[in-house]
Amino acid sequence: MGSLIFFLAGVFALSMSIRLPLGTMDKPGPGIFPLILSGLLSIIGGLLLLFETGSGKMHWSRLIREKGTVWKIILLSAVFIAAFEWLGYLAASTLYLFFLFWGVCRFRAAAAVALTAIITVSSWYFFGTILGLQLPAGPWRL
Amino acid sequence: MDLSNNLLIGFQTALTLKNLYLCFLGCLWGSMVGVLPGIGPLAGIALLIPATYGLDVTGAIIMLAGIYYGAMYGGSTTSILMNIPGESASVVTCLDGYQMTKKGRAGAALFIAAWGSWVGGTLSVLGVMLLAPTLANLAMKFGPAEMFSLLLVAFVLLGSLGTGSFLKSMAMIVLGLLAGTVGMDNLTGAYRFTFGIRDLFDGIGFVPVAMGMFGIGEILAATEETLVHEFYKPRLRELLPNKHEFRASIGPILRGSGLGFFVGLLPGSAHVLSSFLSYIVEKRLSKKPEEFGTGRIEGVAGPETANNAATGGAMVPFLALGIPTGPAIAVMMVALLIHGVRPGPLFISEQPQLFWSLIASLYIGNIILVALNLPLVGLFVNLLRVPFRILFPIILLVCLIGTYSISLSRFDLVVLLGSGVMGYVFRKLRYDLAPFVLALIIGPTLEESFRQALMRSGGSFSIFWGSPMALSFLAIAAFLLFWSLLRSLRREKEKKG
Repeated sequence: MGSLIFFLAGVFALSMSIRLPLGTMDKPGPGIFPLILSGLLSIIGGLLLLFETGSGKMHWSRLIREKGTVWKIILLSAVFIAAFEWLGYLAASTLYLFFLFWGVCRFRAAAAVALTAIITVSSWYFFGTILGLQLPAGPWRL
Repeated sequence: MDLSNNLLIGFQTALTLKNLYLCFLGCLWGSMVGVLPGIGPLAGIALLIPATYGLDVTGAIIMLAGIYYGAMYGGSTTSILMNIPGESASVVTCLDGYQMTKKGRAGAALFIAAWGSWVGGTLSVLGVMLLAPTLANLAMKFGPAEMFSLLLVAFVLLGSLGTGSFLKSMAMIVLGLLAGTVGMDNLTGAYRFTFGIRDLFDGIGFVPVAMGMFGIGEILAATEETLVHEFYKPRLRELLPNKHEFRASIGPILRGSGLGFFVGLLPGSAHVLSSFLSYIVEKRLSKKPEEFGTGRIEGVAGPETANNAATGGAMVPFLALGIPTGPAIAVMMVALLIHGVRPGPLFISEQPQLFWSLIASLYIGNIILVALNLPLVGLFVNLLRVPFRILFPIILLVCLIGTYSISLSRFDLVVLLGSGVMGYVFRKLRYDLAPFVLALIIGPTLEESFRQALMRSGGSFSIFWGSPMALSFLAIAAFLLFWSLLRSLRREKEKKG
C-alpha cells in the first residue's frame, strides 16, 4: 500500500514538474530539482512495489470497521478547524471537547460537561491571558 | 578569546535570575513531557514556541534547550516504574528497568538513570564546546558544492540508519524533499505545486507537519492501545543504589557517554539508536549476557546515558552547520528562525554570547534535572494517574491552538490534521517518520546548494569532484548508498528464503 502511494505521488509530481521551466545547465530552473526527485520517487515506489514482502499491508475494510475512534477524532478535528474562526475559540473548543469526551471517550454527559467547562476556561485563560495569543472571538466577542 | 573566558561570559549570562528561571521552567516542562506518553519533546518544544515570543532570544533558546534535555530525563521514569516508555528513546530502558522495579530496586534504577544522564549530558556538552567551534570554522570554507555533498551524506545516512528498510526510508526522504519544493522558488520566484492556493506560496509549514505527524499521529495510534497502569512509587530513602550497582554502572555510563555523543552527530533517530546500540554493547561486554532483561543495572545505565549524550551530540551539527539532525532539534531551529537567529557556520562567530550562554545553560540544566527528577519522581508519576481519555483531548486541543498561534492561519490547522492522518497511516504501514520531516526542512538548502554550485561552475558537474572535500563526501555517500542497498537486498532475500 505504502509503495503504491509513493509510486503514484512520484508519477503525479513528475507530470507537474515537466510543466515547470527546467532552465539550462548553467542556470538550472525551478523545475529541475522536482523533476529529479519525482523521477526518483517513482523509481523507489516501483522498486518497493516489486520487493515488498507483505508486511504493513492495509486492510481497508477492517480499517473502516475497527478504527471508529480514530475516524471520530479526525472528523471532530476537521469540524473544529472549519468552525474555529467563525464560532470563536470558546464556543468551538467547548463543542469540540464535549463531543470528544462524551462521544469518543464515553464519559457520561454530566462528566463530559464538567471536564469541558474546566478545560475550556483554563485553556482560554492560559492561551489568551498568560501567553497573550490572539484567539478568534467569534460572533459573541468572547 | 579562549575557551575559559568564553565559558565565563556564558555563565554570567545564564546565571541571571531570569535565565535560571527559564532554564528551570524548560527542564520542568521537558520532564513532564518526557513522562507523558503521547507527547514527545517535539510537541513539547512546539507548544511552547508562542510562550517565547515575549522573551529575548537568549532566554528563548535556554528554555527550549531545557525542554529538549528534560524530555530525555523524564522518559526513563515511566519506563522504569511502569514499563511504559515516556518517549521512544526510553523503550530499551523498559527491558531491565522495569525488572529492577519488580525486584524492589526501582529507586536504584531511577538514581542510576539520573546519574548516568547527568554524566552523559555533561560530557556531551564538553564535546559540543570543543567540537562545534572547530566544525563551524571548517564549514566557513564550504562552498555550495561542499554543502550539497555533505547534505547528500546526511540523507543517505538518515536512510541507512532508519528503523525500517533502507528503500522505505529513502522513499520518505525523497517525499519530504519533494514536499520541501512546494511554494516559491527562492532563486527565480516561480511558484511550484501551489495549485493557486495562496497559503502555499510560502511553502508547507514545518511545525504543523511535525506536530501533526508526531503529535496528532501519535495520539491517533495511542487511542487504539489499552494501557494498564501498575504504579510503583518509590520513597526518597529507597533511591540510593548499593555499592555493587554503583560500581557496575561506571563502565556503561562512560561508554554510553562516548557512544551517545558520536551517534548524536548523525542524522535520524539518534536518541533511539544510541540507546539501542548502548544496550547491545553492554550485553556483548557483560560476563553474564543471559541476565540482561532480568534486571541488570548495566541495561539501564548505558542506554539512559547514551540517549542523553546524544542530545549534546545533536547540538553540534545544528549549531555549527545549521543542519538539524532530529525532528525536535528541527523545531528548535524554527523557533530560533522566528527570533531572527540562524544557526550555522556564522552563528558562533556572530553571536558568541548566545552560543556560550546556551553551553552554560546546558551545564546548569543538567544539574537542575538531576535535582528535579529524583525528589519529584512521585509528582511526575502522579501525572500518569490522569487517565489517557482525559489527557488526549487536552493534548489535541493544545496541538491545534499551538499550531494556530504560530501564524494565526487556519490553513496550518488543515496541514496539521492532514499530516496527523498521514503520520498515523505511515505508522501503520511501518514507515519511519523522522526522515520525511528532516528532508522537509533541510531539502531547500540541498536544492539551493545544488543549483548555486552549477551556476558557479557554468553548468559543469566537475565542481563536485574538483573540490577534495566535496569529492570525499560524495565518495562516502556513494559507499553508504551501495552498502545500504546491498544490505537491504540481502534482508529481502532472507525474508523470502
